[in-house]
Amino acid sequence: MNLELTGKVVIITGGSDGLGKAAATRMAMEGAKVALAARDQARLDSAIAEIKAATGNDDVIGIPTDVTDESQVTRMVDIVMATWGGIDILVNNAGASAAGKFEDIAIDTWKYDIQLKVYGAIYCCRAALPHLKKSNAGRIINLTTWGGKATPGGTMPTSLSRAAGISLTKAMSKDYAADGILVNTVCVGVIKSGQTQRIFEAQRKANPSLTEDAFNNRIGGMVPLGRIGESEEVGDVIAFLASERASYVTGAAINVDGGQSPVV
Amino acid sequence: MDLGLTGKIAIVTGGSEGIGRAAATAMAEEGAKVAIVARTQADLDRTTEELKKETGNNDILGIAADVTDEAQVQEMVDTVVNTWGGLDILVNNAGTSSAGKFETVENETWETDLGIKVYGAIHCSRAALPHMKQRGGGRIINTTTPGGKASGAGSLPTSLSRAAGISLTKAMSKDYAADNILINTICVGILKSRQHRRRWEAAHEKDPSLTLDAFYANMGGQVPVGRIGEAREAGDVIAFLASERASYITGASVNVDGGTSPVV
Repeated sequence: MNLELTGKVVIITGGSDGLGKAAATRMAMEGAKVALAARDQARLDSAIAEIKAATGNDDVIGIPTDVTDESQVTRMVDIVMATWGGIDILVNNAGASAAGKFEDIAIDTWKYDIQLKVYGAIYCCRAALPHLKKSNAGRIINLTTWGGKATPGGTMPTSLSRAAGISLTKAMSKDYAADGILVNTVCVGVIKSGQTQRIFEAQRKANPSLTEDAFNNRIGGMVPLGRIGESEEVGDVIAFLASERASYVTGAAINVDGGQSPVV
Repeated sequence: MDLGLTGKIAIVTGGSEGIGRAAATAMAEEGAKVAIVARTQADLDRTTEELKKETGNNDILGIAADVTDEAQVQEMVDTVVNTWGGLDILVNNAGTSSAGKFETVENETWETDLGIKVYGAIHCSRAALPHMKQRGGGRIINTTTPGGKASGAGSLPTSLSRAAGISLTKAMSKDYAADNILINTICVGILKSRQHRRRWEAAHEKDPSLTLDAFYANMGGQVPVGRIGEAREAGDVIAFLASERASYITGASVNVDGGTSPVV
Protein backbone atom coordinates (compact mmCIF):
# COMPACT_ATOMS: atom_id res chain seq x y z
CA MET A 1 0.00 0.00 0.00
CA ASN A 2 1.46 3.33 -1.05
CA LEU A 3 1.19 5.66 1.97
CA GLU A 4 2.33 8.69 -0.06
CA LEU A 5 4.56 9.90 2.77
CA THR A 6 7.47 10.69 0.46
CA GLY A 7 8.85 14.13 1.28
CA LYS A 8 6.41 14.75 4.13
CA VAL A 9 7.98 16.44 7.18
CA VAL A 10 7.27 14.75 10.49
CA ILE A 11 7.99 15.70 14.10
CA ILE A 12 7.88 12.89 16.65
CA THR A 13 8.26 13.74 20.31
CA GLY A 14 9.70 11.06 22.56
CA GLY A 15 11.16 9.79 19.32
CA SER A 16 14.37 8.22 20.57
CA ASP A 17 12.99 4.89 21.70
CA GLY A 18 9.95 2.61 21.82
CA LEU A 19 6.82 3.60 19.93
CA GLY A 20 8.23 6.93 18.79
CA LYS A 21 11.26 5.31 17.25
CA ALA A 22 9.12 2.60 15.62
CA ALA A 23 6.83 5.25 14.07
CA ALA A 24 9.88 7.23 12.91
CA THR A 25 11.40 4.14 11.31
CA ARG A 26 8.25 3.24 9.38
CA MET A 27 7.71 6.80 8.15
CA ALA A 28 11.39 7.16 7.16
CA MET A 29 11.06 3.85 5.29
CA GLU A 30 8.12 5.40 3.39
CA GLY A 31 10.25 8.40 2.42
CA ALA A 32 9.26 10.99 5.03
CA LYS A 33 11.67 13.52 6.55
CA VAL A 34 11.71 12.82 10.26
CA ALA A 35 12.67 15.05 13.20
CA LEU A 36 12.95 13.31 16.55
CA ALA A 37 12.51 15.43 19.66
CA ALA A 38 13.65 14.00 23.00
CA ARG A 39 15.62 15.18 25.99
CA ASP A 40 18.70 13.01 25.79
CA GLN A 41 21.23 13.80 23.03
CA ALA A 42 23.02 10.45 23.30
CA ARG A 43 19.74 8.50 22.90
CA LEU A 44 18.77 10.73 19.97
CA ASP A 45 22.11 10.11 18.28
CA SER A 46 21.83 6.36 18.57
CA ALA A 47 18.20 6.38 17.36
CA ILE A 48 19.13 8.49 14.32
CA ALA A 49 21.99 6.17 13.40
CA GLU A 50 19.72 3.15 13.78
CA ILE A 51 16.89 4.63 11.68
CA LYS A 52 19.26 5.76 8.90
CA ALA A 53 20.86 2.31 8.77
CA ALA A 54 17.50 0.49 8.78
CA THR A 55 15.80 2.65 6.15
CA GLY A 56 18.55 4.09 3.96
CA ASN A 57 16.87 7.47 4.44
CA ASP A 58 19.29 10.21 5.52
CA ASP A 59 16.60 12.82 6.20
CA VAL A 60 16.48 12.07 9.92
CA ILE A 61 17.42 14.68 12.51
CA GLY A 62 17.34 14.82 16.29
CA ILE A 63 16.57 17.94 18.32
CA PRO A 64 17.14 17.81 22.08
CA THR A 65 13.89 19.09 23.55
CA ASP A 66 12.07 19.01 26.86
CA VAL A 67 8.42 19.30 25.83
CA THR A 68 7.44 20.56 29.30
CA ASP A 69 9.20 23.82 28.38
CA GLU A 70 7.29 25.89 25.82
CA SER A 71 10.34 27.88 24.73
CA GLN A 72 12.25 24.68 23.95
CA VAL A 73 9.29 23.43 21.91
CA THR A 74 9.14 26.65 19.92
CA ARG A 75 12.87 26.43 19.26
CA MET A 76 12.52 22.81 18.12
CA VAL A 77 9.75 23.71 15.66
CA ASP A 78 11.83 26.63 14.39
CA ILE A 79 14.74 24.29 13.72
CA VAL A 80 12.53 21.91 11.73
CA MET A 81 11.18 24.86 9.71
CA ALA A 82 14.69 26.17 9.07
CA THR A 83 15.82 22.69 7.96
CA TRP A 84 12.94 21.56 5.75
CA GLY A 85 10.72 24.62 5.28
CA GLY A 86 7.42 23.10 6.43
CA ILE A 87 5.70 20.66 8.77
CA ASP A 88 3.04 18.15 7.71
CA ILE A 89 2.75 15.71 10.59
CA LEU A 90 3.09 16.02 14.37
CA VAL A 91 3.19 12.92 16.57
CA ASN A 92 2.73 13.79 20.25
CA ASN A 93 4.28 10.72 21.82
CA ALA A 94 6.48 12.03 24.66
CA GLY A 95 5.32 10.61 27.96
CA ALA A 96 6.08 8.65 31.05
CA SER A 97 3.83 6.44 33.11
CA ALA A 98 2.94 6.88 36.75
CA ALA A 99 0.05 4.94 38.25
CA GLY A 100 -1.35 4.66 41.74
CA LYS A 101 -4.32 5.13 44.01
CA PHE A 102 -5.55 8.71 44.41
CA GLU A 103 -4.15 9.48 47.88
CA ASP A 104 -0.80 7.86 47.14
CA ILE A 105 -0.02 10.37 44.42
CA ALA A 106 2.05 13.33 45.58
CA ILE A 107 0.96 16.68 44.16
CA ASP A 108 4.29 17.02 42.36
CA THR A 109 3.62 13.71 40.60
CA TRP A 110 0.26 15.05 39.38
CA LYS A 111 1.86 18.25 38.19
CA TYR A 112 4.70 16.55 36.37
CA ASP A 113 2.45 14.04 34.62
CA ILE A 114 0.04 16.71 33.41
CA GLN A 115 2.88 19.04 32.45
CA LEU A 116 4.59 16.35 30.36
CA LYS A 117 1.62 14.69 28.70
CA VAL A 118 -1.06 17.39 28.52
CA TYR A 119 0.95 20.63 28.32
CA GLY A 120 3.64 18.89 26.27
CA ALA A 121 1.06 18.06 23.59
CA ILE A 122 -0.54 21.53 23.85
CA TYR A 123 2.81 23.31 23.41
CA CYS A 124 3.72 21.19 20.39
CA CYS A 125 0.29 21.70 18.78
CA ARG A 126 0.42 25.47 19.36
CA ALA A 127 3.85 25.74 17.81
CA ALA A 128 3.14 23.42 14.88
CA LEU A 129 -0.40 24.57 13.92
CA PRO A 130 0.53 27.65 11.88
CA HIS A 131 2.75 25.41 9.76
CA LEU A 132 0.30 22.48 9.61
CA LYS A 133 -2.31 24.89 8.24
CA LYS A 134 -0.04 25.50 5.25
CA SER A 135 0.37 21.80 4.57
CA ASN A 136 -2.06 20.14 2.17
CA ALA A 137 -2.09 17.02 4.37
CA GLY A 138 -1.74 18.17 7.97
CA ARG A 139 -1.92 15.50 10.64
CA ILE A 140 -1.70 15.38 14.44
CA ILE A 141 -1.49 11.98 16.09
CA ASN A 142 -1.61 11.81 19.88
CA LEU A 143 -0.42 8.80 21.84
CA THR A 144 -2.79 7.95 24.67
CA THR A 145 -3.92 4.77 26.45
CA TRP A 146 -7.23 2.94 26.66
CA GLY A 147 -7.25 3.85 30.36
CA GLY A 148 -8.11 7.37 29.18
CA LYS A 149 -11.46 6.04 27.88
CA ALA A 150 -12.21 3.45 30.56
CA THR A 151 -10.29 4.21 33.72
CA PRO A 152 -9.53 1.39 36.18
CA GLY A 153 -8.57 2.03 39.83
CA GLY A 154 -4.93 2.63 40.66
CA THR A 155 -4.15 4.27 37.33
CA MET A 156 -3.81 7.93 38.16
CA PRO A 157 -2.33 10.31 37.17
CA THR A 158 -1.65 8.62 33.81
CA SER A 159 -5.27 7.78 33.01
CA LEU A 160 -6.35 11.36 33.74
CA SER A 161 -3.68 12.79 31.44
CA ARG A 162 -4.66 10.27 28.77
CA ALA A 163 -8.35 11.21 29.05
CA ALA A 164 -7.22 14.80 28.48
CA GLY A 165 -5.27 13.68 25.40
CA ILE A 166 -8.38 11.99 23.98
CA SER A 167 -10.45 15.12 24.67
CA LEU A 168 -7.80 17.30 23.04
CA THR A 169 -7.93 15.02 19.99
CA LYS A 170 -11.71 15.21 19.56
CA ALA A 171 -12.04 18.95 20.15
CA MET A 172 -9.07 19.83 17.92
CA SER A 173 -10.38 17.50 15.18
CA LYS A 174 -13.52 19.66 15.06
CA ASP A 175 -11.62 22.96 15.34
CA TYR A 176 -9.16 22.24 12.53
CA ALA A 177 -11.12 20.05 10.09
CA ALA A 178 -11.81 23.12 7.98
CA ASP A 179 -8.04 23.67 7.73
CA GLY A 180 -7.60 20.13 6.44
CA ILE A 181 -5.74 19.04 9.58
CA LEU A 182 -6.76 15.56 10.70
CA VAL A 183 -6.34 14.82 14.42
CA ASN A 184 -6.45 11.30 15.83
CA THR A 185 -5.20 9.29 18.77
CA VAL A 186 -3.98 5.73 19.24
CA CYS A 187 -4.90 4.27 22.62
CA VAL A 188 -2.13 1.84 23.41
CA GLY A 189 -2.01 -1.01 25.87
CA VAL A 190 1.14 -2.74 27.11
CA ILE A 191 3.86 -2.44 24.50
CA LYS A 192 7.57 -3.32 24.74
CA SER A 193 9.40 -0.04 25.18
CA GLY A 194 12.23 1.65 27.01
CA GLN A 195 9.71 2.11 29.80
CA THR A 196 8.85 -1.61 30.16
CA GLN A 197 12.58 -2.39 29.83
CA ARG A 198 13.32 -0.12 32.80
CA ILE A 199 10.53 -1.71 34.86
CA PHE A 200 11.96 -5.14 34.06
CA GLU A 201 15.46 -4.06 35.12
CA ALA A 202 14.13 -2.66 38.40
CA GLN A 203 12.27 -5.92 39.12
CA ARG A 204 15.31 -8.02 38.24
CA LYS A 205 17.30 -6.17 40.90
CA ALA A 206 14.85 -7.49 43.50
CA ASN A 207 14.62 -10.90 41.82
CA PRO A 208 17.82 -11.78 39.90
CA SER A 209 16.34 -14.99 38.48
CA LEU A 210 13.66 -13.02 36.54
CA THR A 211 14.25 -13.30 32.79
CA GLU A 212 12.99 -10.76 30.25
CA ASP A 213 10.84 -13.43 28.58
CA ALA A 214 9.24 -14.37 31.90
CA PHE A 215 8.59 -10.68 32.60
CA ASN A 216 7.02 -10.14 29.17
CA ASN A 217 4.97 -13.33 29.46
CA ARG A 218 3.60 -12.24 32.81
CA ILE A 219 2.49 -8.89 31.34
CA GLY A 220 1.20 -10.61 28.20
CA GLY A 221 -0.97 -12.88 30.32
CA MET A 222 -3.16 -9.87 31.18
CA VAL A 223 -3.85 -9.19 27.49
CA PRO A 224 -6.66 -11.00 25.60
CA LEU A 225 -4.27 -11.70 22.70
CA GLY A 226 -1.96 -13.33 25.24
CA ARG A 227 1.15 -11.28 24.59
CA ILE A 228 2.72 -7.88 25.10
CA GLY A 229 2.74 -5.74 21.94
CA GLU A 230 5.77 -4.84 19.86
CA SER A 231 6.51 -1.15 19.35
CA GLU A 232 6.32 -1.69 15.55
CA GLU A 233 2.68 -2.71 15.95
CA VAL A 234 1.95 0.81 17.18
CA GLY A 235 4.41 2.59 14.89
CA ASP A 236 2.73 1.12 11.81
CA VAL A 237 -0.70 2.37 12.93
CA ILE A 238 0.73 5.86 13.45
CA ALA A 239 2.27 5.76 9.96
CA PHE A 240 -1.07 4.68 8.48
CA LEU A 241 -2.94 7.51 10.23
CA ALA A 242 -0.30 9.96 8.96
CA SER A 243 -0.76 8.69 5.43
CA GLU A 244 -2.91 9.69 2.46
CA ARG A 245 -4.76 6.39 2.93
CA ALA A 246 -6.36 7.75 6.12
CA SER A 247 -7.63 10.92 4.47
CA TYR A 248 -11.20 10.72 5.86
CA VAL A 249 -10.21 9.66 9.40
CA THR A 250 -10.31 12.43 12.00
CA GLY A 251 -11.46 12.55 15.60
CA ALA A 252 -10.89 8.81 15.99
CA ALA A 253 -9.33 6.99 18.94
CA ILE A 254 -8.00 3.59 17.91
CA ASN A 255 -7.26 0.95 20.52
CA VAL A 256 -3.92 -0.73 19.84
CA ASP A 257 -4.01 -2.90 22.91
CA GLY A 258 -4.41 -6.55 21.99
CA GLY A 259 -8.04 -6.35 23.09
CA GLN A 260 -7.54 -5.08 26.66
CA SER A 261 -9.87 -2.10 26.69
CA PRO A 262 -13.40 -2.76 27.94
CA VAL A 263 -14.70 -0.17 25.44
CA VAL A 264 -14.22 0.36 21.70
CA MET B 1 4.14 -0.38 3.35
CA ASP B 2 3.78 -4.11 2.75
CA LEU B 3 0.46 -5.17 4.25
CA GLY B 4 1.34 -8.87 4.21
CA LEU B 5 -1.97 -9.71 2.50
CA THR B 6 -0.52 -11.80 -0.36
CA GLY B 7 -2.41 -15.07 -0.62
CA LYS B 8 -4.81 -14.22 2.21
CA ILE B 9 -8.40 -15.28 1.55
CA ALA B 10 -11.08 -12.66 2.14
CA ILE B 11 -14.87 -12.48 1.96
CA VAL B 12 -16.50 -9.06 1.54
CA THR B 13 -20.28 -8.92 1.86
CA GLY B 14 -22.04 -6.11 0.06
CA GLY B 15 -18.99 -6.33 -2.19
CA SER B 16 -20.40 -5.38 -5.57
CA GLU B 17 -20.42 -1.62 -4.93
CA GLY B 18 -19.42 1.22 -2.64
CA ILE B 19 -17.30 0.52 0.43
CA GLY B 20 -17.32 -3.24 -0.06
CA ARG B 21 -16.07 -2.92 -3.62
CA ALA B 22 -13.39 -0.46 -2.47
CA ALA B 23 -12.22 -2.80 0.30
CA ALA B 24 -12.10 -5.68 -2.19
CA THR B 25 -10.06 -3.51 -4.57
CA ALA B 26 -7.56 -2.49 -1.90
CA MET B 27 -7.06 -6.08 -0.72
CA ALA B 28 -6.85 -7.48 -4.26
CA GLU B 29 -4.18 -4.88 -5.08
CA GLU B 30 -2.19 -6.24 -2.14
CA GLY B 31 -2.41 -9.80 -3.48
CA ALA B 32 -5.33 -11.20 -1.48
CA LYS B 33 -7.84 -13.66 -2.91
CA VAL B 34 -11.18 -11.94 -2.60
CA ALA B 35 -14.74 -13.27 -2.75
CA ILE B 36 -17.32 -10.54 -3.12
CA VAL B 37 -20.82 -11.36 -1.99
CA ALA B 38 -24.09 -9.67 -2.93
CA ARG B 39 -27.60 -10.67 -3.91
CA THR B 40 -27.53 -9.94 -7.64
CA GLN B 41 -25.33 -12.16 -9.81
CA ALA B 42 -25.26 -9.64 -12.69
CA ASP B 43 -23.83 -6.93 -10.41
CA LEU B 44 -21.26 -9.39 -9.07
CA ASP B 45 -20.19 -10.47 -12.55
CA ARG B 46 -19.70 -6.88 -13.65
CA THR B 47 -17.75 -5.90 -10.52
CA THR B 48 -15.63 -9.07 -10.62
CA GLU B 49 -14.52 -8.30 -14.18
CA GLU B 50 -13.81 -4.67 -13.30
CA LEU B 51 -11.76 -5.63 -10.24
CA LYS B 52 -9.68 -8.13 -12.22
CA LYS B 53 -8.89 -5.44 -14.78
CA GLU B 54 -8.19 -2.71 -12.22
CA THR B 55 -5.96 -4.78 -9.95
CA GLY B 56 -4.43 -7.32 -12.33
CA ASN B 57 -5.40 -9.95 -9.77
CA ASN B 58 -7.47 -12.83 -11.18
CA ASP B 59 -8.28 -14.39 -7.81
CA ILE B 60 -11.62 -12.63 -7.52
CA LEU B 61 -14.84 -14.54 -7.07
CA GLY B 62 -18.42 -13.24 -7.11
CA ILE B 63 -20.84 -15.32 -5.05
CA ALA B 64 -24.55 -14.53 -4.99
CA ALA B 65 -25.96 -14.86 -1.46
CA ASP B 66 -28.56 -13.17 0.70
CA VAL B 67 -26.87 -12.71 4.09
CA THR B 68 -30.22 -12.76 5.86
CA ASP B 69 -30.51 -16.45 4.95
CA GLU B 70 -28.23 -18.61 7.07
CA ALA B 71 -28.26 -21.51 4.60
CA GLN B 72 -27.14 -19.28 1.73
CA VAL B 73 -24.36 -17.85 3.92
CA GLN B 74 -23.13 -21.33 4.82
CA GLU B 75 -23.13 -22.34 1.16
CA MET B 76 -21.22 -19.17 0.24
CA VAL B 77 -18.53 -19.82 2.86
CA ASP B 78 -18.28 -23.46 1.74
CA THR B 79 -17.74 -22.29 -1.84
CA VAL B 80 -14.89 -20.00 -0.78
CA VAL B 81 -13.23 -22.70 1.32
CA ASN B 82 -13.64 -25.32 -1.42
CA THR B 83 -12.15 -22.93 -4.00
CA TRP B 84 -9.17 -21.58 -2.09
CA GLY B 85 -8.75 -23.98 0.84
CA GLY B 86 -9.46 -21.68 3.78
CA LEU B 87 -10.61 -18.32 5.02
CA ASP B 88 -8.62 -15.54 6.72
CA ILE B 89 -10.65 -12.34 6.52
CA LEU B 90 -14.36 -11.55 6.72
CA VAL B 91 -15.67 -8.06 6.02
CA ASN B 92 -19.29 -7.74 7.18
CA ASN B 93 -20.30 -4.82 5.04
CA ALA B 94 -23.71 -5.73 3.58
CA GLY B 95 -26.27 -3.19 4.65
CA THR B 96 -28.93 -0.72 3.76
CA SER B 97 -29.84 2.52 5.40
CA SER B 98 -33.25 3.51 6.63
CA ALA B 99 -33.68 6.32 9.09
CA GLY B 100 -36.70 7.91 10.71
CA LYS B 101 -38.39 8.89 13.93
CA PHE B 102 -39.38 6.00 16.19
CA GLU B 103 -43.10 5.84 15.44
CA THR B 104 -42.61 6.19 11.70
CA VAL B 105 -40.58 2.98 11.53
CA GLU B 106 -42.79 0.03 10.55
CA ASN B 107 -42.25 -3.39 12.09
CA GLU B 108 -41.25 -4.71 8.71
CA THR B 109 -38.57 -2.02 8.41
CA TRP B 110 -37.14 -2.96 11.81
CA GLU B 111 -37.04 -6.60 10.77
CA THR B 112 -35.40 -5.95 7.42
CA ASP B 113 -32.78 -3.69 8.96
CA LEU B 114 -31.91 -6.05 11.80
CA GLY B 115 -32.03 -8.99 9.40
CA ILE B 116 -29.43 -7.62 7.00
CA LYS B 117 -27.14 -5.77 9.37
CA VAL B 118 -27.28 -7.70 12.64
CA TYR B 119 -28.28 -11.24 11.65
CA GLY B 120 -26.31 -10.92 8.41
CA ALA B 121 -23.12 -10.27 10.39
CA ILE B 122 -23.99 -13.01 12.90
CA HIS B 123 -24.62 -15.61 10.18
CA CYS B 124 -21.41 -14.76 8.32
CA SER B 125 -19.32 -14.74 11.51
CA ARG B 126 -20.75 -18.09 12.65
CA ALA B 127 -19.95 -19.69 9.31
CA ALA B 128 -16.46 -18.14 9.09
CA LEU B 129 -15.16 -18.74 12.63
CA PRO B 130 -14.41 -22.50 12.37
CA HIS B 131 -12.25 -21.86 9.30
CA MET B 132 -10.36 -18.98 10.90
CA LYS B 133 -9.67 -21.10 13.98
CA GLN B 134 -8.35 -23.82 11.72
CA ARG B 135 -5.93 -21.33 10.11
CA GLY B 136 -4.64 -20.26 13.54
CA GLY B 137 -6.18 -16.82 13.34
CA GLY B 138 -8.19 -14.40 11.27
CA ARG B 139 -9.81 -11.02 10.97
CA ILE B 140 -13.37 -9.81 11.08
CA ILE B 141 -14.11 -6.22 10.15
CA ASN B 142 -17.64 -4.90 10.61
CA THR B 143 -18.89 -1.81 8.82
CA THR B 144 -20.97 0.37 11.17
CA THR B 145 -21.62 4.11 11.58
CA PRO B 146 -20.83 6.79 14.21
CA GLY B 147 -24.61 6.81 14.86
CA GLY B 148 -24.15 3.46 16.58
CA LYS B 149 -22.04 5.19 19.26
CA ALA B 150 -23.91 8.47 19.42
CA SER B 151 -27.42 8.09 18.02
CA GLY B 152 -29.15 11.19 16.70
CA ALA B 153 -32.85 11.95 16.27
CA GLY B 154 -34.52 10.36 13.27
CA SER B 155 -31.83 7.72 12.89
CA LEU B 156 -33.75 4.52 13.61
CA PRO B 157 -33.53 1.67 12.80
CA THR B 158 -30.04 2.12 11.32
CA SER B 159 -28.39 3.56 14.43
CA LEU B 160 -29.74 0.69 16.55
CA SER B 161 -28.43 -1.95 14.16
CA ARG B 162 -25.09 -0.15 14.07
CA ALA B 163 -24.91 -0.03 17.87
CA ALA B 164 -25.49 -3.79 17.76
CA GLY B 165 -22.63 -4.14 15.27
CA ILE B 166 -20.28 -2.22 17.58
CA SER B 167 -21.36 -4.37 20.54
CA LEU B 168 -20.84 -7.54 18.47
CA THR B 169 -17.35 -6.29 17.61
CA LYS B 170 -16.30 -5.68 21.21
CA ALA B 171 -17.77 -8.84 22.70
CA MET B 172 -16.44 -11.08 19.92
CA SER B 173 -12.99 -9.45 20.16
CA LYS B 174 -12.83 -10.65 23.78
CA ASP B 175 -14.27 -14.10 22.95
CA TYR B 176 -11.88 -14.86 20.11
CA ALA B 177 -8.64 -13.07 21.06
CA ALA B 178 -7.27 -16.36 22.39
CA ASP B 179 -7.85 -17.83 18.91
CA ASN B 180 -5.89 -14.92 17.41
CA ILE B 181 -8.96 -13.68 15.56
CA LEU B 182 -8.90 -9.88 15.59
CA ILE B 183 -12.27 -8.14 15.33
CA ASN B 184 -12.75 -4.45 14.65
CA THR B 185 -15.26 -2.03 13.21
CA ILE B 186 -15.06 1.07 11.08
CA CYS B 187 -17.74 3.67 11.78
CA VAL B 188 -18.34 5.34 8.45
CA GLY B 189 -19.92 8.69 7.88
CA ILE B 190 -21.22 10.06 4.59
CA LEU B 191 -19.46 8.47 1.65
CA LYS B 192 -20.26 8.47 -2.04
CA SER B 193 -22.30 5.35 -2.72
CA ARG B 194 -25.01 3.98 -4.95
CA GLN B 195 -27.40 4.67 -2.08
CA HIS B 196 -26.70 8.42 -2.23
CA ARG B 197 -26.62 8.31 -6.01
CA ARG B 198 -30.18 6.96 -5.98
CA ARG B 199 -31.21 9.83 -3.71
CA TRP B 200 -29.64 12.27 -6.14
CA GLU B 201 -31.48 10.62 -9.04
CA ALA B 202 -34.79 11.14 -7.22
CA ALA B 203 -33.91 14.77 -6.45
CA HIS B 204 -32.67 15.29 -10.00
CA GLU B 205 -36.03 14.19 -11.38
CA LYS B 206 -37.75 16.96 -9.45
CA ASP B 207 -35.05 19.53 -10.17
CA PRO B 208 -33.18 18.73 -13.41
CA SER B 209 -30.68 21.54 -12.77
CA LEU B 210 -29.29 19.72 -9.70
CA THR B 211 -25.99 18.09 -10.69
CA LEU B 212 -24.49 15.14 -8.84
CA ASP B 213 -21.47 17.28 -7.91
CA ALA B 214 -23.73 19.97 -6.46
CA PHE B 215 -25.71 17.32 -4.57
CA TYR B 216 -22.51 15.86 -3.07
CA ALA B 217 -21.10 19.32 -2.32
CA ASN B 218 -24.27 20.13 -0.39
CA MET B 219 -23.96 16.92 1.64
CA GLY B 220 -20.28 17.59 2.23
CA GLY B 221 -21.16 20.91 3.79
CA GLN B 222 -22.44 19.01 6.86
CA VAL B 223 -19.08 17.29 7.36
CA PRO B 224 -16.30 19.00 9.37
CA VAL B 225 -13.69 18.33 6.66
CA GLY B 226 -16.11 19.95 4.22
CA ARG B 227 -16.61 17.13 1.76
CA ILE B 228 -18.32 13.78 1.33
CA GLY B 229 -15.89 10.86 1.48
CA GLU B 230 -14.85 8.54 -1.33
CA ALA B 231 -15.62 4.84 -0.87
CA ARG B 232 -11.91 4.19 -1.32
CA GLU B 233 -11.16 6.15 1.88
CA ALA B 234 -13.08 3.52 3.85
CA GLY B 235 -11.82 0.61 1.76
CA ASP B 236 -8.20 1.45 2.52
CA VAL B 237 -8.87 1.52 6.28
CA ILE B 238 -10.53 -1.91 6.01
CA ALA B 239 -7.50 -3.26 4.10
CA PHE B 240 -5.19 -1.86 6.78
CA LEU B 241 -7.20 -3.46 9.59
CA ALA B 242 -7.12 -6.77 7.68
CA SER B 243 -3.34 -6.53 7.34
CA GLU B 244 -0.36 -7.80 9.27
CA ARG B 245 0.41 -4.18 10.13
CA ALA B 246 -2.64 -4.09 12.42
CA SER B 247 -1.65 -7.20 14.38
CA TYR B 248 -2.24 -5.72 17.86
CA ILE B 249 -5.58 -4.04 17.09
CA THR B 250 -8.71 -5.82 18.24
CA GLY B 251 -11.93 -4.53 19.77
CA ALA B 252 -11.35 -1.10 18.22
CA SER B 253 -13.73 1.17 16.36
CA VAL B 254 -12.31 3.62 13.86
CA ASN B 255 -14.36 6.64 12.82
CA VAL B 256 -14.00 7.16 9.06
CA ASP B 257 -16.34 10.09 8.91
CA GLY B 258 -14.46 13.28 8.13
CA GLY B 259 -14.92 14.33 11.76
CA THR B 260 -18.72 14.09 11.96
CA SER B 261 -19.04 11.92 15.08
CA PRO B 262 -19.42 13.76 18.41
CA VAL B 263 -17.47 10.96 20.13
CA VAL B 264 -14.14 9.26 19.43
